[in-house]
Amino acid sequence: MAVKTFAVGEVLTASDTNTYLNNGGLVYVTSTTVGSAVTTVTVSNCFSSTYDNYRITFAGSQPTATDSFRLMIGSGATNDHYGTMNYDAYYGTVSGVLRVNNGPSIYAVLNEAGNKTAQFSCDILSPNLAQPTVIFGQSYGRGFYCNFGGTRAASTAYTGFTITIDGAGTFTGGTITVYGYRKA
Amino acid sequence: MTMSDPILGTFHDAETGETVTRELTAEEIAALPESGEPLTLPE
Repeated sequence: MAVKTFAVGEVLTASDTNTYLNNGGLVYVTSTTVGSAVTTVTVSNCFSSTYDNYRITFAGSQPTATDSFRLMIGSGATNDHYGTMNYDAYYGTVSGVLRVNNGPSIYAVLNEAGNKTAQFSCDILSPNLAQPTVIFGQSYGRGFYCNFGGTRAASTAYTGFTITIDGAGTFTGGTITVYGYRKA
Repeated sequence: MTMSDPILGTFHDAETGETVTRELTAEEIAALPESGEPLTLPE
């Protein structure tokens, strides 16, 4: 049973406590702080058979150049990422679509030099299963709200992911957190 | 960053909880995606 309502004064048994403390839909897997002046951040061994699907959040990192953050599953030297990012400026005058067709990574968020507002949250489905990995999420950065999504088309089981900065520059700080979707 | 600057990466292992920031190896650099054109959209 996923939900139980306890009555006032009811004794909490060890069994109930252990069960319901772990009954959340999203279960924390890991978190890390990005170092200084890096080009990439890689989180390894975060995908396993424990969960089929995951949520990733990325927030508070500061880039040195205005460009974008990209997300890749497995090696970015292999061109089988497919994705689309729809972007729309909050001030309403700029919008568009950025497509990746058989590219090395998927665009996740537009960033801005010296600014920490480039942040995203996305779901990653089936990364550790022997089938294509699917990614979709939302982001905000440089005044643009974005929907993005795509796939790493290979039917490969991956155990981690990498966030890279596109183009020139590096990025510093910020936090990446990974959650798993509880199966049952 | 200039050409002579080392390419750094942060590596976090979810199994051990260890996080290190270090210079990328040649193999790791080879596995990176090629940089796209700077995504400088009109303001």
